[in-house]
Amino acid sequence: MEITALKDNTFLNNWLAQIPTKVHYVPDNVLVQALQYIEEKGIPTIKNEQYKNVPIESILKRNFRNLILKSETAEDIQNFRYPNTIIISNNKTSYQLKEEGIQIYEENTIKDIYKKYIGSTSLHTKDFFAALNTAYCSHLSIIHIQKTLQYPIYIHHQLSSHSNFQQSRILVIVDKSVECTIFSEISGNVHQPTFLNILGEVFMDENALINWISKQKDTSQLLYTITNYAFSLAGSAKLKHHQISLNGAMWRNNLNIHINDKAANAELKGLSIGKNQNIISQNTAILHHSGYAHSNQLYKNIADDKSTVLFNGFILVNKNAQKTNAYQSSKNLLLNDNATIFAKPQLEIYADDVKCSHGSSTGALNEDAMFYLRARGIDKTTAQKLLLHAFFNDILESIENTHIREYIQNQIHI
Amino acid sequence: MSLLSIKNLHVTVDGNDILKGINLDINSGEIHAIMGPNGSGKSTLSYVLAGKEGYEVTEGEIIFNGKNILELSPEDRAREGIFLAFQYPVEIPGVNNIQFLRTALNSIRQYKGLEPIEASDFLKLVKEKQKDLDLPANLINRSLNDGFSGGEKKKNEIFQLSVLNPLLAVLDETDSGLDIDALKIVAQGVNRYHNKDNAVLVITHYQRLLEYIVPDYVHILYKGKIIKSGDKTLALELEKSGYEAFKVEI
Ligand SMILES: Nc1ncnc2c1ncn2[C@@H]1O[C@H](COP(=O)(O)OP(=O)(O)OP(=O)(O)O)[C@@H](O)[C@H]1O
Ligand SMILES: [Mg+2]
Repeated sequence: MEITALKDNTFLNNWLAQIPTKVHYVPDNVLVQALQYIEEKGIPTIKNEQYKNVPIESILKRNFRNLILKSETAEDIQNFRYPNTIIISNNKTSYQLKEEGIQIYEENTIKDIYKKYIGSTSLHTKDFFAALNTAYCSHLSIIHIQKTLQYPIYIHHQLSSHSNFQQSRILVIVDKSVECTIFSEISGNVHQPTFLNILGEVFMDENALINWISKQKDTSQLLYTITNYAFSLAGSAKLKHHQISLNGAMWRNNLNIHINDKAANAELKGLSIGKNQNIISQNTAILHHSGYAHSNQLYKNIADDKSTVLFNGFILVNKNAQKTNAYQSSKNLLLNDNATIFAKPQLEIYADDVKCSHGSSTGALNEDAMFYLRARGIDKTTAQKLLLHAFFNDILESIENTHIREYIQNQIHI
Repeated sequence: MSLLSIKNLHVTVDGNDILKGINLDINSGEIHAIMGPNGSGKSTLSYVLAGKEGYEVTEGEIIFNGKNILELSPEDRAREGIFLAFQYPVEIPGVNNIQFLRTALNSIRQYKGLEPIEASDFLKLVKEKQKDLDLPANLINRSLNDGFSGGEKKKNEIFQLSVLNPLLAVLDETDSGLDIDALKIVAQGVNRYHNKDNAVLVITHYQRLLEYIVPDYVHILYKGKIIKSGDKTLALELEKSGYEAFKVEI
């Protein structure tokens, strides 16, 4: 504890003092761990390897010295766009569900059986903001899916225009052999610099299947978001995950996949398009604790203007995880000399009978291709658009739900 | 007035003098052939006509259809009616061949103040040209040149030529990589396209192509200069004696 004494924690302490502490649903041991982490590590600086190139400390000091915390009113929440819609907004969960087999609980209605899940993926011991969420997020939404669903579940993280600091925590449980699509979106009207800190834990029982599509876009350029998600996969569970991060001041996503039992399958696809001064940071960790499983990652990153786009992909294969297949690839496109892309693969392999590979490429738009298109009469802007779409289309094409796919396609303006 | 008039054209690439004073006049209705050893500047000339970046014109002018085109972008030159069949067509995965062609055609039409082509008319046009060139339907519906064989790429260039129907077709070694049957089909395609209102500039190493696409004029390009021009017999002569014989004449 002596180290903390040396550290200047004035900002952090002043800051935390503004957040009410009334988190009742988190098990005591988890809460203690989270608080310890916060105290010991403090707000990550750019010297912190995980937050290198993401100046989170200065963003907080510049924009969020004084926190404005207000709760939503019922009128604020209205947009039930999909048959199964769950709206999570600043300390409130609202929902309309067309289908049976989806149970929703909140922190005040939580059943004991769910308590064991909270914090069990250990996110709060890996990241400052996960710890912060664990210790200081008073609101919890539990979504328990018990039957295979015909329609997607739309989880709308609706931003409040009242508060500049918003947190939410979700717990999703998908039962054995249940199949579902979950479309998670962050949007809303933001009129002031706003900091959003989301934590999600998703537990997939044996043979469960999730198509998870996460879309992030905020054109106000005022929203700074950190998400920490953990997916825990039991035997033969299958996760297909899409992360689409578009224009926004900051998107920092930590995505941890725990392969806990045999023959689980995780397929991660990502598309990040940075513009203006956006910071988009995708951090994945695939943790192969058990063998005969397959993971595959393909992230495509585009950086334009003065944006910074980062991809850190970590793969761990434990010594028990024989017969693992783990692949990772990131393809990066720089559209502007003032833009930056960092792509860093990291593999730790302790089993000998595995197939693993990673690859990363960074470049500009192919000039020969540009000239070829233009030499046929196609103007520069259109040619560039054609090539950009060609670059990332496969990511979008692999979104199975047509409605969601087209909705996202229409949100992309390049 | 000639369709294309090149006067005293000097071009440098990365500071190297590649074209050193080219003069060439092409009238509507004519077919010209340029022959020349490797590295003599044939592709350079075709790129300069199409407006590729990095090719600096240090002297001279290019007048096309009455307009000085040197300040025009590649797309505007294409819209004015210059078409370059590439020596090495670029593979562009993810861009659909047919959609690309329709975008190109409509861009050119828009420039001329025409409405976009009706979908059904476009389809008809494409079908007709595809049959003419014996191109399988699945090929033209794939990504642009992506994984095409060498010969398929060349055929696809002529397919684009026949759909876009430009005023000037510059064919840069379209014959290389084609088998004997494909060579005939491609040549037929070019001849079908050619009429009294347009012109063709064929770049080739081989006299054989010129048996099918019969030129009115043949020019020999050597070290960035046209050292001799003549009729089609010049190609035959060249085939017999090689470039060495002409070098001495300079
Ligand atoms: N970027 C460059 N820097 C320097 N020299 C170049 C550059 N690009 C092309 N050249 C040179 O310009 C010359 C002409 O090239 P070009 O491609 O026009 O020849 P070509 O006549 O088409 O040859 P081929 O018959 O082999 O196709 C060559 O000597 C080539 O090496
Ligand atoms: Mg050449």
